[in-house]
Amino acid sequence: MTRDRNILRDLLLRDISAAQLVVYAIGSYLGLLILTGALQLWRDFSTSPDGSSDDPFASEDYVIFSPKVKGLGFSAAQGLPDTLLTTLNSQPWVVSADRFSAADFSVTVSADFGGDRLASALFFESVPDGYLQPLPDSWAFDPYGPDSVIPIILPRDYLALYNFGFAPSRGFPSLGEEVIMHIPLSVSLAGRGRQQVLPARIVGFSNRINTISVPEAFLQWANKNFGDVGKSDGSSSRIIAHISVEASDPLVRDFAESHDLDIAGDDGNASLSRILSVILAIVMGVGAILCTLSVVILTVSLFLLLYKSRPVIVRLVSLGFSIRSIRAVYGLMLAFVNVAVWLACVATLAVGHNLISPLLADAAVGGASLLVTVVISFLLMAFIHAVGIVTIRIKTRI
Amino acid sequence: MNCITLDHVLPRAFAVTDGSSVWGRRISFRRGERVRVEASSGSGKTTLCAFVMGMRGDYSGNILFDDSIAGSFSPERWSAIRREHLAWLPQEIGLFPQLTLRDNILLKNSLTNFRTEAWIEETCFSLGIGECLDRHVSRMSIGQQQRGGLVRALCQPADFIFLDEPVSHLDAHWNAAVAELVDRELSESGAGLVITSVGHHLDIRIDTCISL
Repeated sequence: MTRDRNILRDLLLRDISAAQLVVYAIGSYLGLLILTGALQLWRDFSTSPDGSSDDPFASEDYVIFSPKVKGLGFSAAQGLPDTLLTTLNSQPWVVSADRFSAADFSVTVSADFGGDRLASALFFESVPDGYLQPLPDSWAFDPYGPDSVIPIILPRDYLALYNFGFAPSRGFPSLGEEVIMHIPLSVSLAGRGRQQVLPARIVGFSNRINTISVPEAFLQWANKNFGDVGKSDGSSSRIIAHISVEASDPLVRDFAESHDLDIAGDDGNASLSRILSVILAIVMGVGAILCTLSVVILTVSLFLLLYKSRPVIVRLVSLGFSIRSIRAVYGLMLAFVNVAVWLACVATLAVGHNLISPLLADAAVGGASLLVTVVISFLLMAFIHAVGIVTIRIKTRI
Repeated sequence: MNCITLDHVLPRAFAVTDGSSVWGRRISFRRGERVRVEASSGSGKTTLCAFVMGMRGDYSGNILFDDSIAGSFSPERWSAIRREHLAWLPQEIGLFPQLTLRDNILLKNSLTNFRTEAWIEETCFSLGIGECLDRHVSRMSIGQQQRGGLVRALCQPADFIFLDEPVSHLDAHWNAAVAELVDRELSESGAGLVITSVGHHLDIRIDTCISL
């Protein structure tokens, strides 16, 4: 019986052009791989390793509003009007907005570099913890604790300024983030006739917050103890807003313009994410075109094959073979090729994902499940297969 | 199936049917009856077979299998009829030239499991084509193919056997061998026989002779 069935299969598949089949298989493999590979990368970039979706691609963004400085500038008292925060919070595209808190006392930070003491007057600001993501592990301050170290987050730009601007000009070594985070600092707080020196440490770097940030709890405590009473309320002239649109959205721009504000924020990351998005979209487009072309190749190949085999099919039908059993031979052949192509695609995706995962982890992204992409690739292949099956049905009508 | 009736069947391509006792008339073939349809070339013998076998439907009138109108059958029902009720040796024979004779016959038998390989071999040898069993059909003569086609056509149960000019390429010796085989099959199965001929008759007893 098996032998007889093979006769039918051999007879029907004798007219298949191996070249057409190979071109189709390679085309659909590449198309599917490029499309799903780009999709997986896009999903990886959209996912943090912990599985959350805080990422360069999400439409959510952070912006910092500050008043425009004109002429000789403004005094603290002339900063942002009190109503601005309320107005901002009532905008539909604003998730939340808060003022920066500013230090109302003088701050001097010093560090020892192998005997060379480096000291500088600085300033501190803070934002509510919710705007700092991810929050560093040691982001806490207890003034009465035995080792009350002040944790500090620096803007990444400052480090770049030091490494590429200041350090070379003064003959200082360039410092990596890890090294800086291990340098013990001394912070001298002075105000209201008092002075206190506390140890401090840099615990992280931020692209988002372009200020020297300390925990809000510390600033409240320090302002209470060292701040000039009545000089200011400890509020900065800047506002940080978590927005549900991109920072470059016209809504944000228009708001800033109408209220005479400057915008700063995650711009670098946002533009990087846009460029990556565009590149990945182009790559996915190429994959989609290849997939479409492979569907065309498949359809044309099946048309040619079934046109060539039509006399054989008609004779088989006249012998009593059902058209269903004849279609099944072609359908099985197509399923065999398509499953092989799909498995090859999934295997390549898995290997590629394993290779690229460490790189993605370094970039603090990745970890998106491969399963979703595999399921999508299966659905795409199922669609291509369905097109083939429909073509077979149409061209084997007797 | 006991009766095939052609009820005023007329090929769409035909305009004039003068003198035909089939086209445009009501005629029946009955199980157990042996009918020879005689006609000149181009008068529609092959067309008649293709109509009855359901391979063409370009006719007016009705073809009835017992009381059922054949034109309304589904493809699946036609497949079953071709496997179980109607055996057919077409004029063009229709063996697949890319297969051996054995594979051609086994291909048909795989559908029906009606014959044993021993029967196939024995019958082929009795018709003088035993040596051709493992030869590609493209390397067989038309006469050998005609006999091979007959063996394939008999690899199924049948109520009617349609033979479209089955001996047009055979000499008297192989004509007699074919006739003996067909006669034996008809006697055993009680099937009806419809045989077409342009003048080269199969040497077998015929009950009715009609002209197309």
